[in-house]
Amino acid sequence: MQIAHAIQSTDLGTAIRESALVFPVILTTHLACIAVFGGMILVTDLRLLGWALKGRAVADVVDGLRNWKRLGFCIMVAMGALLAGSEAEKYAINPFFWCKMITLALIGVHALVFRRSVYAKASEFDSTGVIPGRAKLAAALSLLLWMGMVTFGRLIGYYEPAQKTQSMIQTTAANPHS
Amino acid sequence: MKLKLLGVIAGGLVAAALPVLAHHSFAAEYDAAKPVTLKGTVTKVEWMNPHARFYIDVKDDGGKVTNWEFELGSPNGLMRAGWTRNSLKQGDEVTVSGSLAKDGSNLANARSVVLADGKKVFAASSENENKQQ
Amino acid sequence: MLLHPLLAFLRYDPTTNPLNNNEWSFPLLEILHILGFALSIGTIAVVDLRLLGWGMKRSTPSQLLKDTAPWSLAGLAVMLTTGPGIFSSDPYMYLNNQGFRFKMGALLLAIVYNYTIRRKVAMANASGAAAALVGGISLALWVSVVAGGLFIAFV
Repeated sequence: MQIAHAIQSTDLGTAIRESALVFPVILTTHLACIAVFGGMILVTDLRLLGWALKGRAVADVVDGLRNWKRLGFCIMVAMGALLAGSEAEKYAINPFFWCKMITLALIGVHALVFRRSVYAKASEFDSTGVIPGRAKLAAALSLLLWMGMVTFGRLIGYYEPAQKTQSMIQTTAANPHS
Repeated sequence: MKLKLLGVIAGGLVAAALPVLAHHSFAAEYDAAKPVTLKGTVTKVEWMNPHARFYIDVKDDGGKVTNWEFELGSPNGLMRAGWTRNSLKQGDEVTVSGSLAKDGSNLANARSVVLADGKKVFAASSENENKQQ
Repeated sequence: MLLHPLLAFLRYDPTTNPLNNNEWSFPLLEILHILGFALSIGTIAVVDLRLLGWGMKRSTPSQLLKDTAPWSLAGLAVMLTTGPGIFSSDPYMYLNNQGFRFKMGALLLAIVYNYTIRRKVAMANASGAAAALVGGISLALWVSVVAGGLFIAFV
């Protein structure tokens, strides 16, 4: 909790938390990335499952969108860090936030596990014309994990701590600046 | 691989087991048919996104003091309604009008506040001002 | 506006809406709304990116448009059901909200643009600056819709 208080009490954290436009703009950026780049993740998963864009080469989808998805991911994480950092005390006790972080870690594990056997082999799937079960599994898990991210992410804003935990939050004592 | 699946399911179960959610829409959390007007002294102000909030001590006729919590709009919304970051300060005597929370707690969504200097400001509430019934 | 007399006529009372009377229905609807726009905007973005000369370069814009169109439409269908659903929980609030009004304007523009200019340009497999402009405008329009939606809570 001390760490959380320290993080959100930085000038940057405070500025974001109390801002008029900065906070909503950061949040909008986070959401826009979900729309554009999260959507591309969706497209990749749907292609690997053999459901969408069946006429397009798997390699075109996987390789063509790879760097964009990475860019989007970096922006999303950066925006997320700014948001969470600005209200670290509230996030620290928010179970939905932690579920989301666990899911994010699982996404990292997923990438490591399937990188060599699936994502690096897209052109192979095109030449054989068959998408192996392992690739479909990777896609299905990816879908589940990213839907989890969206779900937990949205629910973060809905969590209301019990009164006891509420008092643990030292947050902005009445106007330290006045 | 099984571990991953387990993790996701566990996460889902955790989320499902949590009973308490604060609603994010006015209509779900507050009752517009239960207006309340209270006068009191500001004890705490949280000027933060996405909702600012403040707390006042209200003394009843018997001298008993209860602490009430009021939810406001966002800093951006508040500033558009004429607030500044320092419009409310600890110790200010204010009068707040709003709608009570449905759960019966000492919580309300503020509609308007008469500040210490007598100025009345609207609270950038998500409650619709021009309700047509 | 048209909606006010209609709602009055129907004697619609939002407090009776189930979205306002249980814990999980509203957040669930919102989550579906978000997933829906990830699907619609994501598939639209793939084509827009291609018009900008980026992304899935082994396919032509027309091929990508043909393959993504049904999914974009499916995503839009999700939006056009979850959206009005969310709206129904507090109609007057949304109608009077500047963020919502902006969003609806941007949405209308984005949809019309999507099925006219952008479709024409993509099917013609246009390239170069003109195609890039068309793709860029499409992205900008859809991001504006997302922004408008977010700002509902910040105005």
